[in-house]
Amino acid sequence: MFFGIDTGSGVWNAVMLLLFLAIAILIAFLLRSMGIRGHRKRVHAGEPFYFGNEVPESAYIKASNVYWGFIKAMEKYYKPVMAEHTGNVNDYMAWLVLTMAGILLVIFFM
Amino acid sequence: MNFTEHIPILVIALPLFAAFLTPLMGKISRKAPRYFATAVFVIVAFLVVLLANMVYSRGTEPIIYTLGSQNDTIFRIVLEIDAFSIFMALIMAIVSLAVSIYSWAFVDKYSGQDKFYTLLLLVAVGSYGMVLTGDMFNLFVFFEISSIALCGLVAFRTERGESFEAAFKYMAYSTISGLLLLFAVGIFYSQYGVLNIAKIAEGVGSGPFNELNKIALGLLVTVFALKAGSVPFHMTTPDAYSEAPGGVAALYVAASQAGLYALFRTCFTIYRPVITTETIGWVVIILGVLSMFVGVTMALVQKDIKRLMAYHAISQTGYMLLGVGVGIAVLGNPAALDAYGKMAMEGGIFHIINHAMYKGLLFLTAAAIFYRVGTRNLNEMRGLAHTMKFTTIFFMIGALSIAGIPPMNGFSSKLMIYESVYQFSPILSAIAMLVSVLTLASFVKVFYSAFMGPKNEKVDAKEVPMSMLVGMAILTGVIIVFSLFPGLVVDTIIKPAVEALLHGWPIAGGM
Repeated sequence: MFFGIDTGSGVWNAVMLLLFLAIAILIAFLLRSMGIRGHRKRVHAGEPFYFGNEVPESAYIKASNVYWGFIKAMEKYYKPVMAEHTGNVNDYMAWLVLTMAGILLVIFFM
Repeated sequence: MNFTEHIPILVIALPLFAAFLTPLMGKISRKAPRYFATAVFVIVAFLVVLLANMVYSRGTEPIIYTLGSQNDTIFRIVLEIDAFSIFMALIMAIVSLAVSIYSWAFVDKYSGQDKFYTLLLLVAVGSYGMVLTGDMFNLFVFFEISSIALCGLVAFRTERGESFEAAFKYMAYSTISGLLLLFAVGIFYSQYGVLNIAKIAEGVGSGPFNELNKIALGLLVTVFALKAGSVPFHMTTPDAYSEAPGGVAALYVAASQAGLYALFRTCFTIYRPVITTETIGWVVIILGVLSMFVGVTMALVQKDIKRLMAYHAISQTGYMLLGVGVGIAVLGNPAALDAYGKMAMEGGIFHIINHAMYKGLLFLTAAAIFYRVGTRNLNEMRGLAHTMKFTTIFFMIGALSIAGIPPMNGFSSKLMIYESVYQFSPILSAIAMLVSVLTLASFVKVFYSAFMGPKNEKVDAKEVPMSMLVGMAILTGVIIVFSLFPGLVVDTIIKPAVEALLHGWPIAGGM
């Protein structure tokens, strides 16, 4: 297949998806053209959204605070995992030796 | 003399020779090394394409190139190139060219550009050598060249203490893994008296699966998983990726994938006859699942853009290990191999090239942000889309691709992995999908933090210079082609690579 992939359970075709998207966009524009022309002036609706519409600086959430709820909920997972990333090369070597020993044991008893 | 006969060795020898000439170019002018190195990368990429054409025209029969006496079993260089080897070489050709052009502007402010390009060429030499060699000792030598050159690049920004720390950690890991690899090579040599991979495979397959070969397998799996940056050998990876200057992190991705190549070559070409149970496959799968999950969850909490992307590189490596691991697990079961094993391998191998392109692109965009904003801290960024419009578009393409959003190429390879792995174990497939969701969440955070929001008036974040845009555009172009024509890519380079892996290697002449 030139455009698509046959996964054995189905077919994926990116060009087909883009064609459907183009048709959907065309329909959306047709519907839009049927709207009330003066509407935008009355309620400022329909204005295009660009990145960075006026937002007060104090209201802008910093990267560290994004997903704080998820991270808080996953605290029991994160605490031990982050604690293992010590930055100490001795600890990293310990992980290397332990894992290699584990792999060798598995291979020996297979 | 037929020139085309010698293309295999030229792909390695040309950048090696050029690496030693580059410091001399630095004596001509400050900018000469960059143009010289880029010209070499262009020529090598052309040679790789020619070589690929030769390899694909031969089907599953590899090209064997011997440098040295045909009768000498030890002191010679043997290159054995099949569709999987050339697939990896194509990745290195594209990424090294893009990084070389990208670096023109990025390293302009640094002194020692000749040394930078020398190291860049040596990374390419090591990676090309690792994927083209047919000799175990040569594999060790190229592994060392790649590791030492990468170490030098990580430590390149000598004004930063963190660079030295990252390089030291990387050097410690590389040295230990190099010694373990040498030990495994010694085990083979002590038993069979040869270093040729095909001959070693014949020796391993001809007798019982003895203890020495089991030790060698354990060592090789560990070493190459470490080179690929798999969990739990990933600890130095975020440091090294984040300290590597500019586009080097993108080259680092491609160089790490040479570790994946060596891991798969070990399992399929050397140990195929003795891998009759699912055990080794499960070892690779477990490393893959750990890499996927730990990588993505650690990425979510990062505020340093390059560290975040480094953890994603680890996570994406997990997909490749999962896909090919399923293929290894069902090697002893021909019905399962045909039903879903090959598809899982195709998905995993397709993901290797997809990952090299979109992760390479994302690292280039991260370096572009650092180039203009002067920080990697996402907390100190905002509103870059106002002024860095092209970089924003490149980032969006890379982010959509890594998150596996249709119609991007990341989706194509992930879909192949999901569907085939589901037939092996539905839980593994569900974990892979969950990791994709978390990947999307993570890149939404980066997009929001760096590109959206009000413009930062304190920073002069104008668009990056043309050479950096060209570097990013090369990788973007490949991503778009792969996204639109995944069927063409799978049929042309992925399926032959899988067939080559399953087919094994004939023994080089004179053995």
